[in-house]
Amino acid sequence: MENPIAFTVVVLSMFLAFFVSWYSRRWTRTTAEFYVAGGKIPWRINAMAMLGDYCSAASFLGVAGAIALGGIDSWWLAVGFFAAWIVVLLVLAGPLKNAGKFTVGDLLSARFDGKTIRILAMLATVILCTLYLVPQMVGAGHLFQLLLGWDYLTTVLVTGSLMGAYVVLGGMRGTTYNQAIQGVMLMGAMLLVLVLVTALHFGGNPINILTAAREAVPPSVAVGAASQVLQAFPPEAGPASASGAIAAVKQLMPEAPSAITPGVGLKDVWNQMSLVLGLFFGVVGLPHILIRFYTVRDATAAKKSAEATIIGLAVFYIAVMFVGLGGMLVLYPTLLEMLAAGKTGAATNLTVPMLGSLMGGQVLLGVIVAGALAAMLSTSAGLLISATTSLAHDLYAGVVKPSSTDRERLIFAKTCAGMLAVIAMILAVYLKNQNVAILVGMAFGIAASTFAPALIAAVWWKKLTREGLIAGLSVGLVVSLLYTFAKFAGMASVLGLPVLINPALYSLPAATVAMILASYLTKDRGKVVEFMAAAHRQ
Amino acid sequence: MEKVLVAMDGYEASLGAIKKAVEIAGKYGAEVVAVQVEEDVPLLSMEKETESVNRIREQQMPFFSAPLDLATAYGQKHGVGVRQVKAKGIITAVILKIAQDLGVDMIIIGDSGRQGLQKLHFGSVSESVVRSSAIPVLVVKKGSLDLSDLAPLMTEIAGRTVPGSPSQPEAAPGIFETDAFRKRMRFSFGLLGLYSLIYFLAALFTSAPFKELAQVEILGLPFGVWLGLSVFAGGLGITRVYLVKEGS
Repeated sequence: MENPIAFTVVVLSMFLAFFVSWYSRRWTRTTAEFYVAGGKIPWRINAMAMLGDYCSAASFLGVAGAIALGGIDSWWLAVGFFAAWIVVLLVLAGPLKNAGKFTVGDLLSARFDGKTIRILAMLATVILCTLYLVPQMVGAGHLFQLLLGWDYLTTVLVTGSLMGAYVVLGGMRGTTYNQAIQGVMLMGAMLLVLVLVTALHFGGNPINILTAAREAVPPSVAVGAASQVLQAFPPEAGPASASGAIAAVKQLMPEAPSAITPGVGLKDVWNQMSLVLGLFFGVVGLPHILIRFYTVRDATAAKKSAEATIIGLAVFYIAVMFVGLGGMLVLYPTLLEMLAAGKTGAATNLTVPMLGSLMGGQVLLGVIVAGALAAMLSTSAGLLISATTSLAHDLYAGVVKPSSTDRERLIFAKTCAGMLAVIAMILAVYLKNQNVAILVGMAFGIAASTFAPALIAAVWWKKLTREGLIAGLSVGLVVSLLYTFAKFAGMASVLGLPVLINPALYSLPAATVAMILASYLTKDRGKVVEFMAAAHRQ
Repeated sequence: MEKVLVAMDGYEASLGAIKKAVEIAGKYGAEVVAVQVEEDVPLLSMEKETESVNRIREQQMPFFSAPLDLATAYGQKHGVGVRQVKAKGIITAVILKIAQDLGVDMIIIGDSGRQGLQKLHFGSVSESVVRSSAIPVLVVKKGSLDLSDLAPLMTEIAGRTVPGSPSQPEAAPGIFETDAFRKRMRFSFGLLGLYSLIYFLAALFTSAPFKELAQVEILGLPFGVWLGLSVFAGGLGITRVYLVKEGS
């Protein structure tokens, strides 16, 4: 074992999470003191729980790692993750809360009953959740490789099986208190790294990070000069050699962009727009996130907690920018060496834990790995539960065996959870070298092309018809999957259009146009009056 | 003694509690307050199902879906008045609050006899009520009373409800006012449009074709970084506006 102390910290934090998920269930049944607070979940706790639910491996590892390699342009991932939350608040959270529906299948079938839409919603939910699981496993794979020194394949198999087992064995319930603790761990770990890196390496002033970044060529650009620079400034010399390496690269490549030069990360405007479009509407299509939006019943507390979450996310994602740039500056030779050696996946996903290990030794490494693990496990459990709920209710109980008992449905759901975890593990092995934030961005792109138009139209557009909804969902799903897998397969173009970093630029407009056209050509508007009355009551 | 509260969830243990409550209330000429609490916790439907399966398996039934109607019917049979109270929230807390608000003289509650890991995980509501109540509590253990005389009542009540009807009625639709709907739509989508403008312009001006503009330095930072920050600032501002207006 390479890091026994760090490993102990991680194991202890896992035990804490387990204990809380067991104990909180009991606590929510048997506490008597609770009604002092009016029997409601306090808004602060709910806000932290939303943060824990939302921030996955992508936010915690991927964004900072992408900034550390590519510079400020990768910050768009974080900006998009933040902005998407505002879209949900403005157009969907209120109507969803009023309708009392929190899963896509439930909401859509409240307006249009029948099997086709349920099955389509199920299919999209399962695909989306599986693809969203992959980056969690890629992150976990790299993380334990760093922590334990195991090879990637082994760690993916072990951590992937663990994630599946939590859900299959019925543990790791996503109760609010557990999620809130994970939210606090995430936020605390990120702010701790920010404070330490600023204090130890940048004279206590975060602005100095930006000033220093102005002189640095991002490692992904500088990798060509790696061999010349690394001889003089080896990574083993630690942060002391970083500034030398940065200056040497700058001398070799005087015209290269700096780490805070915007507009150089993606080669054209289409890639940029496709990514930001996918991120912007992505959360609207991730209904397992929405369930928590209005957990607190009373309107004032709901508003406070929504606003507190949004403020928390803003703080978190701005901190991520500083941590990513700080990580680049402090770990510069290490990142260059990893890129030169082809270890792209580790370089792009492990900046935050490596930074922690450098500054605070094994204890801080342990805290950060625990924070990252909290992010991955809470998200994975939520995803697997959402996907399997949809499979058990919409597919098994709805179509395969309507006469099934609860117990049969549960066994079916757990079998499916295991199978989805296996599929995600296989994909995670294949997609080893991808940045987890980019992978999550693709899942967002698929969500933005399927559920986002469908849900927004279902709650706001009276003229939406059954056929329009089916057309929109199908076209969005097919086009977004086509371009996602083309990207995974490394294809340059499909159907005459270049393959972009995210599918949304093609699939979202295609889905919207298909939905609108089909709606104007057909008449079945479902239970529009009842549904709209429920969704928009005062 | 004027009021006896009995907490009911439809499981076997609480059916014993209603028998005892009616018996005691009958002797003292008191009223029975039958309380059914719908648990209010943020759980996904699959999680709830996991729990209910565990519960049913462990307790071997009988479960009755209309416990309050059973309480009323059983009370009528014995000439005891039953008041029905349905509430939602944290089970223990709600039971105690209703007891306090209505000024009951005694709480009667069933005990599932749940043991081991199940008890560790779910806790025992009866235990926590005993521990926290300022009012005398009587605990009726599962299996301590003969429930056979409840069976005909249960069959009768079950026959009254239409088979296949949803156990929880859909929320009654509010009145769908077109003007209010239009106003709300304009407001929500107006803000979304404004925010989209900030967001997509920021994205456009930080993309490759406009990089010269994005690289212009303002107050020591490239314009592109300010644009990114403006997405955060704009988002916080729009959230504030939306939440203030939505409540009015």
